[in-house]
Amino acid sequence: MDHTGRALTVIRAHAIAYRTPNGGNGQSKQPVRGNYLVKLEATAADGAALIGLGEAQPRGGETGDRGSASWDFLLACVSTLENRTIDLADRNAALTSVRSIVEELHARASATGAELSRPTSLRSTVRGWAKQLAGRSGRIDDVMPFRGTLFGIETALLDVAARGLEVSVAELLGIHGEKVATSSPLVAMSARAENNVATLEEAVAEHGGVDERPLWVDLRGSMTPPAASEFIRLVADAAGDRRLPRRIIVEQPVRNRNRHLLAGLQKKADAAAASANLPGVEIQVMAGASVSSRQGLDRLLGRGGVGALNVRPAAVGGLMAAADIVEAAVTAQPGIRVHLSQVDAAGEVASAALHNLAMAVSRVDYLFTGDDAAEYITAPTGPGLGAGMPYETMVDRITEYETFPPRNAQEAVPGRTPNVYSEVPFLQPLGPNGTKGHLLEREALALGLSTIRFSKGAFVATDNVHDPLVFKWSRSPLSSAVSLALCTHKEATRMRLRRAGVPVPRGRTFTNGDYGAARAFAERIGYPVVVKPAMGVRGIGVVANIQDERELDLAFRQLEDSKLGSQDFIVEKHVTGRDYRIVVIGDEVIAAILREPASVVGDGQHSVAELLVRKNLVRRLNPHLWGRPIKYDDAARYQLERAGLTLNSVPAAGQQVMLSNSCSLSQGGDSIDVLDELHPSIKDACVQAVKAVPGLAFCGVDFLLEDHTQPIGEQQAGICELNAHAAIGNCEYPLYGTPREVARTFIHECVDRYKLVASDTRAENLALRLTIKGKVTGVGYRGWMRKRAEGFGVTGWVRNVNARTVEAVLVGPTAATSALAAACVLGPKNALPTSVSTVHIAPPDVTGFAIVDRAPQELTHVG
Amino acid sequence: MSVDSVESTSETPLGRLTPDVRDGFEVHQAALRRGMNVLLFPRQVMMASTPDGDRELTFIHGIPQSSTLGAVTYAQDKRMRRALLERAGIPVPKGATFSVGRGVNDAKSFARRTGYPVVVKPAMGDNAIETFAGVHDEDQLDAAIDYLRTPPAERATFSRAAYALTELREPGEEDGRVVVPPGYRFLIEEHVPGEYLRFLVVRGLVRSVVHCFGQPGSAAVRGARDISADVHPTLQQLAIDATRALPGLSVAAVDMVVADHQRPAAEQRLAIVELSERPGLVAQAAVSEQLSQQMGDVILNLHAEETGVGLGDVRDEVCVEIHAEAIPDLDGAVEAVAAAARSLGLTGMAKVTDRIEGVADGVLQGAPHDIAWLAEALLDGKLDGHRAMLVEARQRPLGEAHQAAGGSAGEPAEATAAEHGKA
Repeated sequence: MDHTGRALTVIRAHAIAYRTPNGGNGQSKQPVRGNYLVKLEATAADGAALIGLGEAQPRGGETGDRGSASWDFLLACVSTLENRTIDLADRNAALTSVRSIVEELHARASATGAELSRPTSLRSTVRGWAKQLAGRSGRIDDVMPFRGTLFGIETALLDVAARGLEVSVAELLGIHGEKVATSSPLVAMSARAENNVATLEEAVAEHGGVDERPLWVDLRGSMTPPAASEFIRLVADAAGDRRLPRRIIVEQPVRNRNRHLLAGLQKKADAAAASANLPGVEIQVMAGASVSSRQGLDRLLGRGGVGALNVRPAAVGGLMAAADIVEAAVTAQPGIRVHLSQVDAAGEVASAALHNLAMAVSRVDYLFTGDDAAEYITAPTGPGLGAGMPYETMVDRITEYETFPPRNAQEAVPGRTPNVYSEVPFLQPLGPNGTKGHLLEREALALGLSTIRFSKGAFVATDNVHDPLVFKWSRSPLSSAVSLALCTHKEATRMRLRRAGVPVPRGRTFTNGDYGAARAFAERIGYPVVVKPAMGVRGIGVVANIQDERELDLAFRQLEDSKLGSQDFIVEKHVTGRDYRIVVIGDEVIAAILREPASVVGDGQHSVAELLVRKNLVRRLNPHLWGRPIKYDDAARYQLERAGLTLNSVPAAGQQVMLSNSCSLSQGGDSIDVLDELHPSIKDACVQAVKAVPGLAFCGVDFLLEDHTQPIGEQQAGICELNAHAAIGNCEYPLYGTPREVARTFIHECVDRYKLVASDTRAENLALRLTIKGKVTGVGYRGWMRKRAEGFGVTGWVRNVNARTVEAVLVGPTAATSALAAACVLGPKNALPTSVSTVHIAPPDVTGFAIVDRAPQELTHVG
Repeated sequence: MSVDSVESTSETPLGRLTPDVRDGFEVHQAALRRGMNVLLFPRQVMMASTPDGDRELTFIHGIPQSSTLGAVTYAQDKRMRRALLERAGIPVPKGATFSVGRGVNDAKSFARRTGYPVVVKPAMGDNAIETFAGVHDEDQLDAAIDYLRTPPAERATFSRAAYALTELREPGEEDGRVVVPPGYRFLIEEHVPGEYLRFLVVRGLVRSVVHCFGQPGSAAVRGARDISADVHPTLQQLAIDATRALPGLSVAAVDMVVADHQRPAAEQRLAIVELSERPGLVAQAAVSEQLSQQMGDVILNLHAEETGVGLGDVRDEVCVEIHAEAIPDLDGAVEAVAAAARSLGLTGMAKVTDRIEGVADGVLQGAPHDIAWLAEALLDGKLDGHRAMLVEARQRPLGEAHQAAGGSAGEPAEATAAEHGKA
């Protein structure tokens, strides 16, 4: 057959960062990790579309990866994959093609790694020499960086090639086995040998005592060399006394830096086993994390080798490297025991890659997959990895998404054009609720006030003439303490508003079990009604839209069966309407949004999952919504099921697919500005409601309305809540429609009311001097700040003043500069700043951002 | 259901109102004494209006509306409060906050460096409660921290203001016991020995100074004496300056420990150990009921003054029309109100008005503090567990209670659940 010209071409490459779920039952100790998914779109010579998937698992030192540097490296690699071809003449040709691309990426990894570890100080230069010496003496291996990242890219290339050949990845690599047993190690991490042995004995006793299965223990390098020797002796004794099984595999008893001692430990193990009370005792020392390259393996074998080897593809840089290491080990030492495992937090694609690898090497004793579902794994049938896009687990956990060639996120969403905001990168370091504590300070600084910040939520602002104003979140000097106390009690709010003549749903509280009185009340106010517990949380026990007495009785039963069934309960009139948040400052409505449940709109081409991912990516460009994605949860599954759809369905162009019935923005709801369309009678009702609460000057009114453009008297309408400490970002940054300057209006009102001396206009640029106190030295604070400042485009300098004080000058655009000032109260991981005071200075002559020993210039305070 | 009022004593069973409702109760009774109409919502939100209904004064736990939300929030956060006091040059004890999750070891070394005894208290929430003073060694420190590990709502002496921040973090778990979230913080301060003084500052002036024997708000309090006349003016000024350091509090209770309250501030070691946004009249009540009552009237008057509201003369007996809404167990509540009124020596009647809406009405005549107590107790669920969501008291001419009690027999049968009056 003529295969000339049989090849595939990569036409598009996607890099997706997502957070792994932390175990299904919520009890898992497994931490949430950031994995990267690589998706390649390719076309075969015959025009057929092919997909290739790979999952990267960057795990710090274990895989030679480094946080954001790994993501940058992934993007650099993935961006070169467009237009690449893979020869599909046969298996070997395909493998050769993949290998040549992978080798190029390896070279890039080494070059990038060298670039990143270029010495920046005398200390790091000396450290670099020490590392070289250690490498020459065989103490450490010269391993490639970014192995966890490379694993993902290589897997995607193998997957797409295998699919092009219509074989499994295992077949592409060369099938050796049909069935592999699974097992999982016990983990013991005490520094003391006897504690670790006790842990093992306990676990064995718990599992019904000693049997013939070998016992595998992973010690994760927890012991010193003498303790490890002691451990091996104790284990041999225990096996001899039948307290432990006869065959024991001891993985990584010493730290990586002591890897040269592993072979010696194996000899001690052999001796101890031979002198045990029982014949047939066998202790195999296992090299795990210590072997991350062929060089490492060769050095280990050169010293005499060990009894067992555990290979993790992400830790050695890919499936092909893992296979090479296994084959080399088995060739050199035919009796060696081989395990294959994952680094922690593997998704479906990484697991599928491991399954394929397990069939493609000549020896595997155990496969550790991270779940103990099956006793054996059999050969995958393919094509490719046999795995699809893991949307079920990933769709609402994506944090970054890049496509090559690039696509515009805004245009990619069908329907209305959503807003995107350039300040998101500045606000993200403050966390998903960051806008709430920051926006007011930003506007205070923009009007020339000085601030002192105590925490993410708390700051005081002053004109240095009058008493300072104190803020915590949106608790401010504008409102009274009493207003909050009234607004946080639903029944009290209802009674107050009703007396003020403002439309509120009629309702009242009943004592637990007093259903007779509740039925009579429902009859009087008229159906439909809502039933809810008196002190409700998160909608538990709430039943809405009850149409008649029969449904009311069902609702009572539902409430009784709920966790809050022992409470008093409320019956109130059901208002049929849409959910609005209307913001009042002083006597004026200054913002209004309509909140709609999470949904996506079809384009006739993309699946629900793809549409959802895109919509969430647009939400990530919104300062209020980036940390509030549409969730793929039970509510979403229910909505899809009701519509007869799945994640893979492709909705028709213009078809709206609901994914929730909650209007909460935190549950993925949309926010749509409606201020200019709001009927004056609705504005009046809002102002009247706010005036009914003594001393309330900033309020988020939750209004149910049928139509915001119509007079309030001609529709069903009711205020269901007044929020005295409402969020600011939801109306400041709507997903659709005109953004409103809530924070700016808020601060203006404060300045007016307290007659502060402030600028009339909002500064577009700021020059600030910061004094940061607390645990801020010896924690990498200045380096952290420089990195942030450079990323934000802010110039200036930073210096240590004393052991508990850092001083900085920040000059730049208001949004970036004020956000960096706010982030200073958080600082790097180990910092504990207690206060950040910020004052205005005349813009000094600075370019770039420097770490300095002394202030490079005299600073002139202004304001 | 008549009672002979001669049997009743004039003593109000105030013991059944917890200390945290004292301030609201005192301002409430002051409003009734001044002839105002009072509208009371759950959690001590009180609106007192002039007889013509034109003007309104509003309080939360006895704190006037002029205290801002920002200020009360800062007063409840001891770390920020300390920071603001320090910036204003006000002496505070050496101290630092730690989290129960990761800060316990640091807390212990801080206590060692500071030197025992130390004081331990929650870093956030109501002031002057749950304070462990005189912690002498690490065992006692452990015990104090362990107490604070219990979720606040389950602690014996806990109270929470209606405007307090809500805990949104998930609780922690320790050996099967539910505990506070690991981020929960506590404050350790050096223990300053000396006289414990409580200054009541209202609108920038010291209105009362009390020397407390033992920590107010704790079981250790053994009484108090009024030293308003003897205290050195520089100490008064310090209390005023401390209140100003936290702008937006129109009322504050400032706790100061001094060597000698008759000597000037500059000549002795002293420290501000608490600054509360609540009046804390339980300290004045430890001197006498009269002093506590008087301070309630001072707070009412000063808020009336700043709002431009004129108040009537003090009266020792009032007659009010009572209206209560959203009562879950209506018949039981009316019975309980009647029984409590009888035992307090009040005259009048109470009846069910609207069974479906849960509304009861009545008329009561007697001492303002008894009527205020009855209303506070009904809102707080302290009348055999009966509870209303709103109680309104409107002033009527004296004597109307007698007529109401006599005339109510003609109401529809459903209405008369309970009535009482002088035989």
